Amino acid sequence: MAEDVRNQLIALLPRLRRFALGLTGSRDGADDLVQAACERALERLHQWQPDTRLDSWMFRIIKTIWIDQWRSQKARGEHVDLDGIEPPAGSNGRHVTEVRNTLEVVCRAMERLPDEQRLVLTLVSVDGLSYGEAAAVLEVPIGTVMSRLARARRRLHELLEPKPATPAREGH
Amino acid sequence: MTKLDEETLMAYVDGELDPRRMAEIEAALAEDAEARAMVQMFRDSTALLRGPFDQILRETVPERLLATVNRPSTGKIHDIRLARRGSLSRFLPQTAWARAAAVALLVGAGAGYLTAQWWSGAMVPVSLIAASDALLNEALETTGSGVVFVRRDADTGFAREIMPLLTFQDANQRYCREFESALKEPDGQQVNYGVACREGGAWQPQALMARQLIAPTLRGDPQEHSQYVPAMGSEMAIFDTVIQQLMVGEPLKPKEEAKLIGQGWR
Repeated sequence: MAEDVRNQLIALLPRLRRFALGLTGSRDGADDLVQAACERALERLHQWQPDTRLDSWMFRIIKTIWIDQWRSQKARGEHVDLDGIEPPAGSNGRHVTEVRNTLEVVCRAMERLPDEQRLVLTLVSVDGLSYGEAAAVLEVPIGTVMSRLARARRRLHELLEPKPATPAREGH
Repeated sequence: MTKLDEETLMAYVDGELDPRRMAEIEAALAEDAEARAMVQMFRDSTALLRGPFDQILRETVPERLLATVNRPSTGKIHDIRLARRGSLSRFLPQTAWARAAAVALLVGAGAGYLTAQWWSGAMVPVSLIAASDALLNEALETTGSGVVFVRRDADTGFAREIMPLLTFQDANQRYCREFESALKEPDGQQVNYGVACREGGAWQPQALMARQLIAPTLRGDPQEHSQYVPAMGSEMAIFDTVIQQLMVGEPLKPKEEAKLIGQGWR
């Protein structure tokens, strides 16, 4: 039984890494997060019900660890002023078409979203969960998933799409 | 008349509506340019994410993750400690570090063979451990494992965080604690992993591994951005052998640890 779960978990690792990267914005941070989540999952294997989905359970563990860490950073005053940083390289110049699709630029843009929006965006638009599945992972109503997701996508679009008529820097 | 609000259009793009509703939206879209633009925006936003993130699925999963899943459980305290390890350096505001350098380790008396082993490895000892570290001493004396001790460093003015990870006894019946320590500087942070043992009423570092984490800037050399930090698994494996060789018996349970803290480690 436990061996079977380990095999399922190994098969899930690529998706878990992708999800964690959407949250942390860094390869190293994503792998640290997935590692911590796997350790916690194996520690608490008795809490997982075999007839439920392992991916949802793992996403929930990753979410919990990330939120706990993120909140403790915030509580210690470590968070960046998200509106104070430079816009990502793709938002203001002629290089936009070359760099727009790179992971780096997308990650930097996602870092500027509030964490609850980043979570729902990563679950639905990156991993491809349905609204209902995302709502189950996040333990919020579907309506909440939809409103956060719409806001996140609008904001991401603003950050990443070229706007030829606007000046190079926001807010000036 | 079909109401084409933003969330309905998004649900249409994501295929979340039933077929009848999908058909209604399609008909309504034909007459609503603004709604068509919004549909396009929702399509674009998904496309922007899918391509870049999907490349992760084609990558080889790092060995350390496979090892984590395959490792037989070693007992709860170890598992908890491993899950805690690295938490001071995780989730920095800008977590894609341009560089990380693993350096150094030096050990006190009686561990000459270990020092030799590290010298032959990839790591380079940089300096002797500072003879006294008052904040570390206070943290190890008063803080339970997994709890973060935070102070402003008097010399630098930067935040210093220390988290004990594990408590055990060595062959001389000294209490020893594994810890993680981070000094947060404006452009990055230095994270130390260490082991200190209590002797003569003070915590003496036995081994220390430093890791310099440097936050990247968005405007720097673009090549540097794509240079990700390698997994730290192999470094930590060496560090684990230090702990294994020092530790006698089992790690202390949280209750035992709390009692010792309450009694001033006597």
